[in-house]
Amino acid sequence: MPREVHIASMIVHARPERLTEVSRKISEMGLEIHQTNPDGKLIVTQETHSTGALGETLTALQLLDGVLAATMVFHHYEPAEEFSEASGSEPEPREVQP
Amino acid sequence: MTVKMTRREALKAKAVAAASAAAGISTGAEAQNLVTDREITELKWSKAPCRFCGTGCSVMVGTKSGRVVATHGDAKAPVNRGLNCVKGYFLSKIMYGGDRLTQPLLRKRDGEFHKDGEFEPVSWDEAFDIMAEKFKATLTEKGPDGVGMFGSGQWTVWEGYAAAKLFKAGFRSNNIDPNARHCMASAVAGFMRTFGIDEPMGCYDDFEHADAFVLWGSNMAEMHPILWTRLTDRRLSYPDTQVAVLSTYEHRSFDLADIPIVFTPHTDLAILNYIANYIIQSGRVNEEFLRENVRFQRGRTDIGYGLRPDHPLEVASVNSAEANESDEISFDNYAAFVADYDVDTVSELSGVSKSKLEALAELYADPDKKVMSLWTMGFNQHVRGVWCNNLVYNLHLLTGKIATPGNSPFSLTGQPSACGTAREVGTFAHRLPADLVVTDPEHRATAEQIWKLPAGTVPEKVGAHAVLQNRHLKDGIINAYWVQVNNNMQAAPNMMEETLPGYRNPENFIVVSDAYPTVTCEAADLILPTAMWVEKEGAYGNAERRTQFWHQLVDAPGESRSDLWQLMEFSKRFTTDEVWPEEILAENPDYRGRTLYEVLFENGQVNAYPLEDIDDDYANDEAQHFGFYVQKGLFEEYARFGRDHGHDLAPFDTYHEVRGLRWPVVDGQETPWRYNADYDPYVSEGRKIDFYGKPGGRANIFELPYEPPAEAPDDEYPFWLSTGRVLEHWHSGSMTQRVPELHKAVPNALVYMHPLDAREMGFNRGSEIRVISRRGAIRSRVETAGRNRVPRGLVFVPWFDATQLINKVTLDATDPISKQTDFKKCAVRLEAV
Repeated sequence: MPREVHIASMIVHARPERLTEVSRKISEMGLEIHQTNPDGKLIVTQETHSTGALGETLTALQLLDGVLAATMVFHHYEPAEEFSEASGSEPEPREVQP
Repeated sequence: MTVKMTRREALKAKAVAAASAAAGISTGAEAQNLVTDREITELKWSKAPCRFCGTGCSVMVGTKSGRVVATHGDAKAPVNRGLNCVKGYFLSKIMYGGDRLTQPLLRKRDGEFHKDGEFEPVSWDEAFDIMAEKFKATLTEKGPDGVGMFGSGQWTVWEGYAAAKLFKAGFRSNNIDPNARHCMASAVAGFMRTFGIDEPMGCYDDFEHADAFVLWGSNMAEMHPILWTRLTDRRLSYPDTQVAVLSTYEHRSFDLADIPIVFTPHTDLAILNYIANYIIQSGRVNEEFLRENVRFQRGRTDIGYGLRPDHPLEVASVNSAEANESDEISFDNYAAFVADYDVDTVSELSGVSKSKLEALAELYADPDKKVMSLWTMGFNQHVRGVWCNNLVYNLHLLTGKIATPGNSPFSLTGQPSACGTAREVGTFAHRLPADLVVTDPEHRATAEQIWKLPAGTVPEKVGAHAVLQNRHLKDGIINAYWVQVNNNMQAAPNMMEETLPGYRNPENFIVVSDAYPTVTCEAADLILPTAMWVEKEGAYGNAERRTQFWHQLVDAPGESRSDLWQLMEFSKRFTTDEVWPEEILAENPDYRGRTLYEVLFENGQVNAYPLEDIDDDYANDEAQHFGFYVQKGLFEEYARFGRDHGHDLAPFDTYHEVRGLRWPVVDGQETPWRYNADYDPYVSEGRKIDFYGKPGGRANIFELPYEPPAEAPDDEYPFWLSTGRVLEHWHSGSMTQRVPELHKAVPNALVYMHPLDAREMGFNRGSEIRVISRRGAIRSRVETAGRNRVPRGLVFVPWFDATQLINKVTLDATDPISKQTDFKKCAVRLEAV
């Protein structure tokens, strides 16, 4: 049982000519890409139950070939039980391995 | 669909909307701070500057039931415009580490303090009792020189101010220095020598105006990610923009470099002089600018290496006693001097190709290119760090590329209030607030008058700086010592020969205030648990002179108390009779028999603002405890030093409303570019540019040579050692390493080395080796891949890892002017374990 739920969004700035390749790698990391633009920017979210996973993801993104910068924008976390009180049986958030 | 799905989706939608707005991908940036979802609106959102680096990003902090549960980049913040970097994710968790200190701990044996005892929990009363006893005994026996304090660029403005006041006026000792000595002292001395006023004339808006960026010893991509994002945006949106990156090894910032330059350590001095020579030889000097705004100075040379006086290098040096002196010369003298730095000579010395040197020099020389120079520790942690700062200003002054949008020599900072507190408040051993110095009788008189203290209270003698404090502890000259908000056991150089023997010297009593048990705490005699960040009301000042405030948002755990509370409460335990000399008391009988708390903090100024002035929506533990609005009183008293003197700060309450303001703030207006008549009200009538910190409004161009480093590789120690940070662990890791999962990313510090060097030594990637210098050794593992690609003959070791303390190996050579340590180069040998 995970103790916490984390939801975070990030902006990844890729070299525009490598956007496709970077998008593929990010998808392979199990992250959700919501938007991209021709300048090479991607809006990515991650849902996880570990603080560390979030930091690792952002670090991994920042160090991906073709990525110039990766920054975080929004980070929400709270105890998992508070999340489940409001619901029933939701699949547990997926741990993402960068 | 369940309620939970709605909520989760709503949160995610908000996360995406916030990111899109910040990226400029969709419209509606103003919507980012608006929250509609019911569950999220239960959170209370407040602004606070990030507590990690010197960029000064503003973060929106969401609290619920007394805990921080969410953060997002503040869309209204001009610095970060809704973004937040990887370090920002620590913010929501940083206060909740499992090993948080929550009560004072004293080394005891058989129920009493004992230097070799075990740490036992004690009350604040018992903690302050023993601490006051030790400080008083030392003051009686040794006088003010026997006590000392080591503070921080992470102190809030009022904490640094209260500490400086307590030591400089209360204990009458200038033995107070911040850890900013390790990171910013060379930048400060560079500013003072060239311009006569500390801190950059430009601001972050320069990122959107520059045509070229030159990184001199700064890995911005990893260390200042938000500013790097602004630089990247500029580079990619305006394809003619160029980026030059200089370093002694390749790092992540090289990915964006149009002109990548790896140079032999220490030869940046020669490269800087070569560029000046190139500008002159190619006829691109801005002569009108020089005529109006510049003066030429020949600095003293052969100034030593800031080692102990009996070190052979110090004995051999000629001008170490007058390292900061200079004599006026002419432009022709200067031009003849730099003429020796021709491209062939400098290419040979630095190992940089002639074509790259010329491409770099052309960025500065081209009159149509606006240039932003950026630097951090590569320049500052350098035995000629002050010179490096002076020499880069030379390039901007020769071409007039300064103090206008996009033309900006910019010294970046590493700590959130290295500028706002350590520098502006004057917590250095030689300083007072607003650039005043203790050696100037008028400056001391100003401080005494503002502080309403008797003439002669503030001592003239410059106190011990960071490295000297450790030497004085080891030698038993300082015996009572207090460390706040930093991890100096890990951060200071030459730990085994200087720092640890000093802390464990049986004559000494060492107090460490921290939120977490660091290696410095372990070396202490008394540990004081400390409230951090939004557990107290605070103020920081960032690298572009922006002062930012935050409110107390949550309560500190257990019995932990803020540094401010600790300083003020401790001051109650001393009376003037105990610590001031009879002659001051005899002339000023009103001050007899009063506590330091009364004379320093109940002076009718610091205690001038009632509790009613505090915003009803926020707690303020210190104010409630002392019975008045402590932070406001301290800030307003402090602000008197700078108002009408080029350092004007806005009224206290303003800062709680705005996303920071860049000083000088005159008539409610901040100043983005100083010294420029279009922006700065202090510029004299009729001048376009006015460097008003120096006589005649003229800045100094310095003639300064290449001189060799304190230690270089030889047959016995054949490798250069450079140290620094990696992205995953910030500063010394005492906070960021509280998140256990993070250790998986970079579990231990590694020795980055060239694959061919490794092969020659018979090492494989992952081999366990010893890194040995003349001073000490550590065990670590070889890394030949990864993003730090070092040249042959150099190894790089990050310094965050408390289990592999690289400062057992580093040399405590300092810049003789700034007293800042050179952590970037010494000589080592490597051995298989």
